[in-house]
Amino acid sequence: MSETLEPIKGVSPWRDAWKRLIRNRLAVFGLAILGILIVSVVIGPSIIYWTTGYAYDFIPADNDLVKSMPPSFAHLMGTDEAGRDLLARVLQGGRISLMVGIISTAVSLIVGISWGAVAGYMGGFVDNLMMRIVDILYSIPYILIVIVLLAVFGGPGTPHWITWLSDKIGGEGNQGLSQIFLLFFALGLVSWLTMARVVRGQILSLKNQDFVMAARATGVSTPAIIFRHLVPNALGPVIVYATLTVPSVMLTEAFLSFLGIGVQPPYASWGSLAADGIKNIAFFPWQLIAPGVTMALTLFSLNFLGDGIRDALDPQTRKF
Amino acid sequence: MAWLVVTLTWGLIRIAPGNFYSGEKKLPAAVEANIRAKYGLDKPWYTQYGMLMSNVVRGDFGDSLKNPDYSVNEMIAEHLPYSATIGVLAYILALVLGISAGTVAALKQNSGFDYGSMSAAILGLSIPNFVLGPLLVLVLSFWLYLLPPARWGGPSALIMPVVTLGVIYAAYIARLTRAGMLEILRSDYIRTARAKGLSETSVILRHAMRGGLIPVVSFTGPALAALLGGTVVVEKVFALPGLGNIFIQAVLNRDETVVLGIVAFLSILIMIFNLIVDVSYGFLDPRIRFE
Amino acid sequence: MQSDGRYFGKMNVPTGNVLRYVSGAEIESLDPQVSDGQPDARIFMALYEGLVEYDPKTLQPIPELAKSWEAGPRVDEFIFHLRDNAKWSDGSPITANDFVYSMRRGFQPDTLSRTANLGYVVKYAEAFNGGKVFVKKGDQFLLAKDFGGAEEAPAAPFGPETEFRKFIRSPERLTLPGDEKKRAKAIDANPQLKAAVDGAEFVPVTANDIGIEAVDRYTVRITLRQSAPYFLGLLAHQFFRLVPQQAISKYGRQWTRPENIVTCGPFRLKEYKRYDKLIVERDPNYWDAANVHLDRIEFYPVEELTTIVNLYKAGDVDAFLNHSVLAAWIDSIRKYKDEYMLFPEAAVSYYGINVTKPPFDNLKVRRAFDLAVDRVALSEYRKITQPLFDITPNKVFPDYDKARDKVGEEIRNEKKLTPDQWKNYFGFDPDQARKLLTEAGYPVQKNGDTYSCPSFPIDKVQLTFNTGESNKAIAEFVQSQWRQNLGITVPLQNMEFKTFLAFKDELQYPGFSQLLWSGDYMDPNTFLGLFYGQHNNGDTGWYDPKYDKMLDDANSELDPQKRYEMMARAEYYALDNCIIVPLTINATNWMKRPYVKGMYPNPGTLHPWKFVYIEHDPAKWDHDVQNIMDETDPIVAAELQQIKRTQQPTGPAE
Repeated sequence: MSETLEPIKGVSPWRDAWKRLIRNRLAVFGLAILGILIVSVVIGPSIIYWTTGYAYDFIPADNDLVKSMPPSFAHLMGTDEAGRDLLARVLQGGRISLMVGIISTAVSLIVGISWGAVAGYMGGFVDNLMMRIVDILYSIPYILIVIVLLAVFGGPGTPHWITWLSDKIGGEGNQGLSQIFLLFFALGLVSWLTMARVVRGQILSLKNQDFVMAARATGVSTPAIIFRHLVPNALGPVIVYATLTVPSVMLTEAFLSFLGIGVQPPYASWGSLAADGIKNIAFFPWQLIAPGVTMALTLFSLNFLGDGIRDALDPQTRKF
Repeated sequence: MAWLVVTLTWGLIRIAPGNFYSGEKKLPAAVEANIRAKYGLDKPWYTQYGMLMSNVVRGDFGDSLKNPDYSVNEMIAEHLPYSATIGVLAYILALVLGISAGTVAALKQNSGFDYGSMSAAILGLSIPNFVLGPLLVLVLSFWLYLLPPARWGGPSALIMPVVTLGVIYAAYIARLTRAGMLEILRSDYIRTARAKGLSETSVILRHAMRGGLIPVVSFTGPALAALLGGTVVVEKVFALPGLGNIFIQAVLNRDETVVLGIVAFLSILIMIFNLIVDVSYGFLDPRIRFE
Repeated sequence: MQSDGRYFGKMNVPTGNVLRYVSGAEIESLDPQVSDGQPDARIFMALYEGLVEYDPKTLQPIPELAKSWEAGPRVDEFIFHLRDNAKWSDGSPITANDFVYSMRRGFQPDTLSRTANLGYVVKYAEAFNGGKVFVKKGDQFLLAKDFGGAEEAPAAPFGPETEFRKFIRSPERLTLPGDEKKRAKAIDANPQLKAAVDGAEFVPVTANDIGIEAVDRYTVRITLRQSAPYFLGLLAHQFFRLVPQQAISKYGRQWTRPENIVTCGPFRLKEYKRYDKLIVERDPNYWDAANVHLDRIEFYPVEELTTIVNLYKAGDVDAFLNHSVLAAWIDSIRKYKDEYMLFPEAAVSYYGINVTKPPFDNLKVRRAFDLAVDRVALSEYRKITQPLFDITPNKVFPDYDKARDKVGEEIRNEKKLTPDQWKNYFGFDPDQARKLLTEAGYPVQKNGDTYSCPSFPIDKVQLTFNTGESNKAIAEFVQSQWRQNLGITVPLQNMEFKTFLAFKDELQYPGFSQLLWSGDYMDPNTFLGLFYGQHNNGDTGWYDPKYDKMLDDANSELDPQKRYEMMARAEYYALDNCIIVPLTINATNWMKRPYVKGMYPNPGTLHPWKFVYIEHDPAKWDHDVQNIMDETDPIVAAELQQIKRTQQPTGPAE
């Protein structure tokens, strides 16, 4: 018997989680759909442009003939009221919606993690103060504040640094882009609160563990302790929460665009496309159905995926 | 806390360009001067803030700026019933649908019903309410001519708004209930009850539900807050004269008094709800009672 | 009744005489002297009446509470003979004193009326509304003519010579600002004034000073500060409708509450739930109640166009307000020939040019941008508008159009232009546009098929408009026109409404801003008056005393056609200064079911509700409403004839 004793590979919790995730059929299903959607959204517009010449902002010269056409072979999702191909617009809108979702979640992650980690680690008065602030902000009916905020700041009131940023990225005078940046912040700032609470909870349970004491003993600075030792270990619930935040942020953005204070022309997001479609519901229903169904499908798969990730990472705590 | 919210909102409105008295056509200078004098707009901002706060503390938000024949409190009292009716009905729908679906799913874990209903629930979470509403209108008002597409009216006019608003919460509640029930059903507490020989029905209804519904109860707080946002959409889509619609109008009209009044009112409302939720924890979870 | 394809959606013919109408935005107040919105105006027309009412088709004044009237020899005075059988909804009689009270109350500063300026042509009305003062030295008042005012000819006799008339027809008194600081400033600026004012007393202008008098119980005399032939048409406006003294003195601001309100129109208030519905029912105390056809009108305040059309399609409303069919739907709606109303309105859309900010202080630059827009193409694109080349819309005032054509010929000859050159002089001429821009110092270069203008300061121009579907569409179209024809891509900026108003008002905008204007009364003066006076509503920063004088002279002219010609001259003068880019004439753009009769697509979309009725015989329903203005409705015609019979035209025509 010549056995080569293989060193026992410790299975990291991440690989464990991954294995569990793969086994969850619904999650895989969600992942697959999401994958298709993301690919479509990223390269779709270009493919459409190469094959048919349609772009999300392309208004054909004889657009009278193609305005608001129902779905056909030429236009798989039909056209909108200016004659633009709806499929191209839905895919382009997907880019914006997903981007908003991801970046806003990133913003809320950064702010929430920092806040919660500092509060959790520092404890005592600082903790109290920081969490009281969170409590206060939590009880503000945020929808009201956001509506007021965006009604106020969209337009000449937009702070200069936002306009500067968007000019750099989108080109001079491109007002639509500065609106989008505004949106990132407005949305991100709204969802960091729960993130902060979650992180703080994690930090609290971790901070008295040995490895932290060891780090302190060897003189590691406080910020380093917080961010290089504690946070990485607290990531589990954070990831779960993040995957669930993306769809919720996307819904909020869609809602704001629907109200007319989200994404502005020439950019379109699923929310603004849906708003356009709702306008014409008595005449051209496909203009709502196309972006609506696509958005529902995306959120659907995101939610499945989020569920799966949560189950995979922490099978005991199937809260919801 | 409400004070803070009101201050913040007041600041925002003041920063916003535009005022409540301008319209398409320019006002005669004399009239504008009169308006500004009447509302104290010619005084320095901190004086105005002081006057505002002293009134607010007494619960007096003054009259609507855009519709000076009505006071803010009156307006809130007048339009709240619309929002409240829709909100309450939607939540009841959500509770009934969600709890029953969730409970059955938990009892029949991993069955076809379980997968089916939970997928339906996720679908419910994924359709934005402003997409669902118009789709319902499309089918029920234009294809079938069954229900009115908008405006307040009798029960037939309320069906679509209530369903649109409630579906997403039904979904959440179904999932919460299922998860909560699953946990409770595995617990010692239930095993004891079963061991005592109680009937399955009584085990579920009297023992499991209590504990299983805890997550649902704790969800009520944020749910009602989210319901506010939902009513705004539903009111807009179905042209209902509720508080959400009024609020948006007021913001667009720069009707400061109304905006502040509604913001304060809703903040207080949310705080009260959260309080109720905290209290009801005690009644529901037998384990907590002993803490 | 199911849709049989002929009518849009589902039609529910009412069994009784009830009209369900979407009125638009929720009204501000039930006080007709306070709000200035159009939705409010329509509701006021049901609840309140004035001396005259609008003719349902032409909007010209017809007798209402005044059964007849005469105009003074210089059309600066009017005498109205009132009916003796008119009553308020609470049964009390309507007399001349009600008119005097209403007008005084309307101009009272603390009424905060937004439409008071419409009545400033009434003598001393502006002074009273502005809180101004007379200057009294000894027992003499200083007169306006001594300090730059016009010389007035003594008034010819007109009606009984009362004390009040002596006062009101005496030469106009000088008025100064009531506010001390402003007054001191005005006095210091004028040495002659300063000397005269020394030792004088300042007497506030009171309500009793304004030019209205109850000559006897049923006779009212109104005195204006200058000739204003358009005044009669103005009197149908809600500002001049009666408000109940008995309710206002008792309840103050609360008089409009449903439990307190008293009205005088064909309908009285039945139920009012804000943002939900406003229901009025026939008022049995109305003097002409026998001729009011509808039992009840239900006004629904819905603003969202989608919802309005959805309600109409589902058969839940019978008619809705103007401007409610979006351009995107027109093609689908146009085929409903029995319901869709597309007629020109007395409402226009321009881009105002801020002449205070360079480079737009240069006339050539302005003309270049103006000439580079193809308005005909724009209206074809918009579908629901007509192209506008001037300040006053054409096809709305036929006599004025005639005068304008005549004057246009004269001016063409003065400018020594051929008819061809004249055709596009105020129209579309891209070559000339490029030439002008180059001459102005911003040469336009040609690159193959396109143009560019690199030296033009792009950061100094912008096209600002307020958020709205059609505004955006127009802006994008015009932007592409400028890009195509001048090689300049003007950045667009859309703003929320209130923000936009503030921005425009303070002349902060660089370049162009959208200006929508609908006439307050049916006379070209309501459009030309946009640019009259120093702080005019035109929001362009342009002000020219010469233009003002031309309009004043025109309004003093008694012969109506000659007056129109003088106004046309003024219009061409303003056009020569190119302070706006005229864009479109709005169209009425609304729908009503064919069983609703007596509602016409007049240029203001204002419906005197007493003429409206529900026709239950399908044979008599409206067909092909494009001809509706030419058809005679026997019921409406008979009612009109009966009303107009009391007015015999006397004096110079108005």
